[in-house]
Amino acid sequence: MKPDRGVDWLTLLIATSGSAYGAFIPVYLTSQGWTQTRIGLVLTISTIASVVCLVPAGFLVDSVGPRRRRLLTCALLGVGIAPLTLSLFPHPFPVVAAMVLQAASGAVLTPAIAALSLALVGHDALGDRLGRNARYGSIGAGLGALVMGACATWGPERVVFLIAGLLMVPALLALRAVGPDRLDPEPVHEDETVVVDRFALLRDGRLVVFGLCLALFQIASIAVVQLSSVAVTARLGAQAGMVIAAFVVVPQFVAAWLSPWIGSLARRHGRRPVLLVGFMTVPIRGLLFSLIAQPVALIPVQALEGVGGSVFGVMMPLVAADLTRRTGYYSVCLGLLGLADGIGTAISPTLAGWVADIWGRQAAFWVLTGVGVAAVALLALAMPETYRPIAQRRAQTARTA
Amino acid sequence: MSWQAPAIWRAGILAAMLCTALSLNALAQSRQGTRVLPSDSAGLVLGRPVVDPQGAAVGHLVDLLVDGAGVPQAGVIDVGGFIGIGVRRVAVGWSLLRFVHQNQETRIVVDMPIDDVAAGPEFRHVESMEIVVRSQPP
Repeated sequence: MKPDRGVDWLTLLIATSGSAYGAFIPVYLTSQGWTQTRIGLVLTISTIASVVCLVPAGFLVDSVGPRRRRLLTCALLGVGIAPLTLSLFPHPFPVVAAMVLQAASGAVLTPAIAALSLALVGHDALGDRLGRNARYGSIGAGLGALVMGACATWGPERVVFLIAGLLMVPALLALRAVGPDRLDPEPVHEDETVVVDRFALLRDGRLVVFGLCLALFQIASIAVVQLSSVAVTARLGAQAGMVIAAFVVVPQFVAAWLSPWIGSLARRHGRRPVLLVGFMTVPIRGLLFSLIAQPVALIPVQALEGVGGSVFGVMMPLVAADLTRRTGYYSVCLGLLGLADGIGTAISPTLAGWVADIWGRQAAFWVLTGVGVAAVALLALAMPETYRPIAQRRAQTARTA
Repeated sequence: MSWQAPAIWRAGILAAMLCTALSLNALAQSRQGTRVLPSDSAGLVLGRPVVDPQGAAVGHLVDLLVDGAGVPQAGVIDVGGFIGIGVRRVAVGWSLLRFVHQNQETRIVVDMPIDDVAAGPEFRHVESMEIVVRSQPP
């Protein structure tokens, strides 16, 4: 297997396994006779664990450098053991331990795969590589949702986690197929000074702006499907499951189709235009969801989430690589952006639910649309272009020399 | 000195027997306040699937609303959704729920079609305690 294929399979299998989490955890624990209070407690603990782990995990990935393979093996084992534990021992202590293990391993995996990709192809081809990662991640998430949905409908719920855990066996094989790092893919010192200050990254205003943009994107995006699918259940009853499944799966397959193209667009035209187009899909989708009442008519609108999600998935690690090309600490940067992502994801349903309680669901869509507009505005006004092609960097070095 | 050790052992054995007798007595006493239910006369219900009269899956029973006398007033059901997304929480009047205990399993049947349960008012503890008491007229 070629090293490229190894990374493809890794992202696919990790995403498939990850689709068993999220909204399905409360369903599973309920089926095991857990009370709602206890489920709430477990979810809170796991949220705190994943937030706390993000930045230290990034630091860990950065500090092991090229020896990240062993770390990846451990993280894959963690992501495999956690769902097996959930499936076989649905008791309080093992479940909490599994959720914390999942949070910690997940926090390591995301930056480690990105760092592995960067080490494989170097900065200038990274957009294309991340496009492929996003493609296989989306295929995995889409297939995973379908497989897990089938398991949850026809089998006992615990089968979902059994499968999620066993998927890590082929993932470990895929990791073995990834070749060694390209030797010094792009020696930075050749054309630019490397900043050795370890806090340089934190003082970079672009990181703060980009983080804010990502958080606003998620606030405006996440709750849209949740809000509308609850209404779809009320309206369609028995048929609602299929429509909601389409809401979840359609964007993943659109993203799978578009992502490689997004990656190469970002290399040819720069990051800003691609980001702007991707961000603009969020308020447009919010507006369409507020205008269209017919649930089935909303399924094609979900293609927009695919476009936005694809841009988000490719550009977040790509811009992070741009920002840290001279400073290092790529994975710490990804951890910080992941924090912004996580905060946005957590705020979104709370904000939408709160607005929907007071002024109704329609108003909640408008508020989400407004936040989406704010995200586009902030991106357009405050976020500079971060990409400088290699030719331009060489020219600048020649001038200063 | 050699006669002291067996004496201690004897005392130890006596103490152990006393302890066993006491604990057996305690066990027997606790047994006095219990009874064994015939199998298939009752079952656990929280987290169990709920079906409609046609056997279509409705959701899971997640909690009960109980009045001051301990009598259940409604069952709280998580309805519908796809891998947990789009789940609605609806409270259904206790008289609409039937519990069939068979082969060590409890089948919970709600006496109305799934579409009517799903269309019921969303239940939120304290804020919105509206419960469904009968099927809506078509």
